[in-house]
Amino acid sequence: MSLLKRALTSITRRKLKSLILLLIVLILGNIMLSTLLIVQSVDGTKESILRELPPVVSLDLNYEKLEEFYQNQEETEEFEIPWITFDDLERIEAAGGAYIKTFDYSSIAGIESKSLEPYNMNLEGYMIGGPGEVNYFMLQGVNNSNFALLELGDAAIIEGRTFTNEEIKNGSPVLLISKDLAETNNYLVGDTIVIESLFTDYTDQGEQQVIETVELEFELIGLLVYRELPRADKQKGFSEEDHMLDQLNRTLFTSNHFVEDYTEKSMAIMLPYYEEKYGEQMSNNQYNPLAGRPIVYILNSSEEVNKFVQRAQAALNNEYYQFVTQEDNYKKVAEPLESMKGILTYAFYITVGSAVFVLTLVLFSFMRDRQKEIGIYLALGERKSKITAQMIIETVAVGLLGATLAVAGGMFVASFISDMLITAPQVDPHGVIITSSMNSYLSNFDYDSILQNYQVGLTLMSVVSFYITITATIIAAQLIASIYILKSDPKKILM
Amino acid sequence: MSIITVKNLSHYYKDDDYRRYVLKDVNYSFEKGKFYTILGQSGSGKTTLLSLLGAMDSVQEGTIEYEGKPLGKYDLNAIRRNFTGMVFQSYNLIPYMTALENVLVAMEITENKIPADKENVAYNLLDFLGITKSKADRLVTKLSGGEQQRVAIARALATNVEVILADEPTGNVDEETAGEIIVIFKKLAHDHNKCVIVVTHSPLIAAEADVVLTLRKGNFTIDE
Repeated sequence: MSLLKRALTSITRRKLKSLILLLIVLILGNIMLSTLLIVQSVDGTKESILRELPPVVSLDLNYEKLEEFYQNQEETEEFEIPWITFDDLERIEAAGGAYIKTFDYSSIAGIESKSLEPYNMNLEGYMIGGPGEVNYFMLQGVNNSNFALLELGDAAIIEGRTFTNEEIKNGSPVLLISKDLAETNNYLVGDTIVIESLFTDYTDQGEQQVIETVELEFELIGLLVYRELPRADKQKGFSEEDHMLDQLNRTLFTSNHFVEDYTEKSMAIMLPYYEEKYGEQMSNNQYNPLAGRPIVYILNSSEEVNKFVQRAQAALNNEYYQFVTQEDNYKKVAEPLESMKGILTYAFYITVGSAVFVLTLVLFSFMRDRQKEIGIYLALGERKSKITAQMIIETVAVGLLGATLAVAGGMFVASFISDMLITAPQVDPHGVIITSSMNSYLSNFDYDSILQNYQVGLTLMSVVSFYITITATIIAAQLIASIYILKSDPKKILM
Repeated sequence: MSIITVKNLSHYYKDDDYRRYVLKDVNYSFEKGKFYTILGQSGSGKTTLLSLLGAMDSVQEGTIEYEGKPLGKYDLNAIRRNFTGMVFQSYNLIPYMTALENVLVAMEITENKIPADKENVAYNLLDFLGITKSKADRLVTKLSGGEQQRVAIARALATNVEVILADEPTGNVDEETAGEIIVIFKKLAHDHNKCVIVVTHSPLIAAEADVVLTLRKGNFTIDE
C-alpha cells in the first residue's frame, strides 16, 4: 500500500476530518484569493493604463518641497526659486539624450483683447464674456514643429500646416489656433490677422482701464482640432473637461521666441507703469522664459523612463524641480485604488499568517487524534519523514480541493469587497490636479477611466499565485504540526 | 541458531538522580524455531525487555545483537522494519483500514523481499490465520477481538521477519481464542522456523512454550 494510497484512504475514510479541513481551507482560501485578486487587478489596471500611455516625463517644480520650504521660512528671509535655465536643459540632454525622442516647453503670456472673440461652447454654466468686454486668451509658445500636443496625438492639424523650424528659430509671427476659434472670428488659413492686445489695470473704483494697446499681426498658418477628452462625470453642463477644452480654444500657438519677445515688451510697458503707480523700484531680475514652465520630455520607450529620470535628475541637481512620470500621475489619480491595494496587501499577508496559525492548530489537533496511528507506523519501522510526507499529501490534496472551490467563490467575494471599498474613496480622485501636464499635453486618464479599466477577474497569474500561496501555507502548517511526529515515541504510545 | 543475543543488558528508569534498574546484566540467546514466553510479575521488566528486543527503545547498557550484529549498527527503525514483528495486547491496527490494508501497509514499509503479488500474499496469510477473504475486506473495527489479533499477527508476519514479539497477545480475547492464538504461535515457531517471544502473565501459555524465561529482580530464571 503506497504512501499515496495510504493518504487517499485516510482522506476518503476519515470523512469528517477531511470535510472540516476542506471547509477551513475554503474559508481562508476565499479571503486569501479575494485579497490577492483585488491587489493583482489594481496592478493589472495600472499596467494596462501605463502601457497605453506615451512615454512622457515632465520636468516641473517640486511643489511639496516648495511648500515645505515656505512653511519653515522666516518672514524676513528672501527666497528666489532657482528656476531652471537653458544650461540645465543642455545638461539634461547630454545626460539622457539617448532616451529622448523630443522635448518641448512653452513660454506663455496672457493676452487681453476685444478684437478677438472666443468660441462659445454653448453649455450651461459657461462664462464666455460678452461683446465689448475684454476677452482673455493665452499666447503659448512651442519649441519644435511637432510640439507635444501634436506628437502625443492630443491635437491634429485639420487645415494648413505646422511651424517650420525656421519660424520657430526666428520667432516669426505665425499662428496656429483651433478650428472653432477661427470659425468664430471668420479667419481662414493664410489670413493675416491682427489682434489688439490690451494692457489694463483697475482703478481704485474697480473699473478696468486700458493703459496701452499693442497690435500683434500674425499669419494664420493652420487650424487645430483637439482630441475628445474622457469625461469625469456624465452630467451635462460645463465640466472640468469643458474647461480644459475652453482653455485650448483660447490658446494661440506660436513659437517660444515670439512669446518671449512679447513678454519682454509687456514688461517694458508694465514695469514703468507700476513703478510710477506705487512709487517703488520693481524687481529688475532678468526675464527667464523657463521660470515656472514645465518641460515635457517624450522618450523613445516606456522601459527607459526610470533610467532617463535617474540620469536627468542627477544632471539637473536642483531639489526644487522634479521629474514627473506617467506613473507618478497615475498614483495621484488612482490614489483610492492604490490605498485599497495597500490595505489589502496587508490583509493578504495577515490572512496568510492567520491561515498558517489556524491550520497549524487544526492539523495539530488532527495529529493528536491520530497519535495511535502514528505510533503504529513507527512500530512498523516507517520513517518519520515518510509519515510527514503522507500527512502533507493528505492536507495538500484536501486543501487543493478546498482551494479550487475557493477559486469559484473568491471571484464573488473579491467583487463584493472591491465594490464596498471603491464606493468609499478616502480622497476625492477628481480633485487631484496633474499640474505638470495641464498646459503641455492633455491628461490621458482620470479616475473614471481607471475604474473602467479596473476589473476584478481571474487571470492565470492570479490563479497560479493563489495555488502556490495556499499550497505553501498548508505545507508550512503541516510541517509545523508534524513536530508532533518527531516527538512521537512508539513505545510510549503503544506499550 | 541464535538470532538475538543479549549481552550484559541493563536498563533503568530515572527517579530524580536515582537509577532504578528493571533489568540488570541480562544475558541470553534467542534461537529461531523456538517459542519463548517471558513471565514475571508486574513491574518486573518484561515489557521493557520486549521493547528493547523489538527496537522500540534504545539500549542503555550492554548490547543486543541481531544475527551477530550489535543493535548499534542499525537504526531502530530499520530493525523494526526488517527484523522484528510486534503483536500488541490491544491489537493496534489502523482503524479506518480493512484487515487486508493493515497487512499491506506493513508489506509496503519493510525492505525485506516480498513477492510482487502482495495482495494475494496478504489474503493467503490472513486465510492461514483464519481470516476469510470477505472478512479481510472489512474494516478492522468490524472484526471481533480475536480476529483483530489474528490480523495483527498477520501484519507482523507479512514483513517476512524472523522474530515475532508479542506483548500479552491474549490479554483481550476469550480463552478459546487465546488457545487458538497460542497454537498459531507454536506453528510459526515450529513449522515456519520463526523465533517467537511472548510476554505474558498466563501460565497456560507458558505451559505451551519451548522455553519459559521468568524475570526476577531484573534477571532470568530459565525453564526449558
